Amino acid sequence: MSSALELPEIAAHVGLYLSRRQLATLMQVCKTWNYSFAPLLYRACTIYGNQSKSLSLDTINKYASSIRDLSYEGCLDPSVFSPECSQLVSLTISGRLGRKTDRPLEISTLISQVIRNNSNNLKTFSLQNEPTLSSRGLWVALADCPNMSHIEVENLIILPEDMDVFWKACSMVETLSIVSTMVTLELNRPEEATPSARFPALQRLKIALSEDSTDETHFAILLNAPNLKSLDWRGKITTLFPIDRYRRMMSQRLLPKLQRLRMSSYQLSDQDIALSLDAMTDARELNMRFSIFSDKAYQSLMSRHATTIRVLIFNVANFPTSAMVQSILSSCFSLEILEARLISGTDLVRIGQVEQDGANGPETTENIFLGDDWVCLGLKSLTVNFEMTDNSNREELDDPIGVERLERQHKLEQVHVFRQLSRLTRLEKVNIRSMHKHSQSLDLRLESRGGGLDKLASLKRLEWFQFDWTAQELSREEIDWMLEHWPRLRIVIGTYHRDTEKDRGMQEYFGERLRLRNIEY
Amino acid sequence: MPVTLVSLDNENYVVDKEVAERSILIKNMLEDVGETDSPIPLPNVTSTVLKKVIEYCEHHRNDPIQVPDETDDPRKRSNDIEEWDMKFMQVDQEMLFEIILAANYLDIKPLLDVGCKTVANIIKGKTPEEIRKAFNIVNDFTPEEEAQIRKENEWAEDR
Repeated sequence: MSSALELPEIAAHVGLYLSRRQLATLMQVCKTWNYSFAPLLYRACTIYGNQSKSLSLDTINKYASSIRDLSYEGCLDPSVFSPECSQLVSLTISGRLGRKTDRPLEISTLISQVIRNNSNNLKTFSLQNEPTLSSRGLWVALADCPNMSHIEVENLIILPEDMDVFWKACSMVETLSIVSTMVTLELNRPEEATPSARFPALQRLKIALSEDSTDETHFAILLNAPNLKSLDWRGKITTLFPIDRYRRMMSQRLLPKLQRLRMSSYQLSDQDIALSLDAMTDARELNMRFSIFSDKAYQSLMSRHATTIRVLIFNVANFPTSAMVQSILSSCFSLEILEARLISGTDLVRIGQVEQDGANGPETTENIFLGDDWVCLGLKSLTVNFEMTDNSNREELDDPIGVERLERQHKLEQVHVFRQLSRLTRLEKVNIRSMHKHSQSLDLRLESRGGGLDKLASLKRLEWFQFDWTAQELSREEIDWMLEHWPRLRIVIGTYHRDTEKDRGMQEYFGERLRLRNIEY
Repeated sequence: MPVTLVSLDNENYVVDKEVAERSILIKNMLEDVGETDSPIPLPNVTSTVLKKVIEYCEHHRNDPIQVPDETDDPRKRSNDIEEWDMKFMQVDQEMLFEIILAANYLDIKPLLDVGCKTVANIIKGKTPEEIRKAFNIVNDFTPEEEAQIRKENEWAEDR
């Protein structure tokens, strides 16, 4: 009755949950299963050149009709470029020439032939790691692929005389990535009266040009890509960012469709981030790891993009402020990834005093100010340090009322933070790593031991849990609880206990229990 | 509002519309037909299997409809089956595959997922011989053929 597995869609569905190794095992079971699972295993192949267990040419030829994604890694071996592969959708070359092989042109020509054989279906092409593999023939072949939509090059040397065909190949793609590769492109061709858009279909651009590339090239691409939605602009910290040109481009709204902006190496000012956000419509992603996100940027973000923003990544001390982080969490309901320095417990809940007119003159009554509930219920990844009111040195205070209030504040904060976190049931990664060793953060003990871990039972998708440098006193009970309630848990990074002996013991215990659980799967 | 489902062997089952509509096939049928009392024939599903499928749909009647996430991780996991579903799936193999086929025909994606994950979990960690035993399959390969397949697929071993 396992004939159900003979139905290709059922076999494919079961195959989704199996590793390559398991699919290979299934192919040995019987002839029918061999037939059902071969296309699944051979859909995406990786050829690790010059290794004993690598795919042979015969095998590639046998399953050529199933292969859609082909990847060459390790040492590039001319004998495994097969003319039988004609159904490829994606081709990746990230291998290198061996020391003995001195013929980059031979390999480049073989790659060109593969491209030609798959001209109609090929959509994705990636060439990385071997600088000498660029050749005119390769780019000409690529330019002839009518469905080419994704090109990536990294660590490549493209000769100046081949630059024109390289750009021709790139001209109609949707996704372009040029990393550590020297390219040149003139901003305005003198013979053109009106420069036409050279990259009309380009939606996603990742550039990390080599140091020799000029600013001219960056802008020659950007100013000719009117449909650009996503920009990932990297450079070395030491490179000067062409800020004036950038400001002009943004203030003239030359990238009107831009929704994702990532500049993780450069440091932009608050003003410039605001300028960038003003130029974007319905922004989805802002990754400015080293930039100063302060009042102006915050204003622009909240007034224009609060409802659409999905990814926010900052990492500079004090920017954004805790109040801003709380506001972001309680306004941006589309948020999926947030990385910020910290959020204070007092921004979530605060015991305050209110002056009121009472029967016998003015009275001070106590009020609890509650921060708004977090609305980002689709949040998948949260990296923020929770700076909670420190009650660890309460013995040192000599004001009993003050101590009592401190205790209550501390307790309220713990309750409310856990409550907010428990509502974010789609969380896959939580990182509450602290900046200062042993700072007061969330108490991750079980409720029976004084903490609030139990509240997080709802985070069924949690895979990564990180809490290093937060002062904890966890035991094996907490580890058992985590493994029981978080079925997808893979990674835990943290200091379980101040006592290094105990901590080491628990690290080992966790590792062992995780290994045992993984063996079952 | 009740809906009547009729199995292959002519057994009638009356269920709430909300429960029946966990099946996208039935949902579409109901939309096409409009307001009617006529029973819905399901000629591909026997009564024993239909009973199980209805049990699943009743239990999950209030679940939110799954929207495929555009950023869903392709590395799918099968170790997150809920406890109730796990117990529900503790049936003999024949029934397991019947449920999968029914979920496929009736287009009940969550049930299909659970069924396939269950099969995947049976397969995981087993050698070909153990798999044959688990599914009562006869080995129709010669030892040479089996060895050849193993050699061909060596590249997939470590990944």
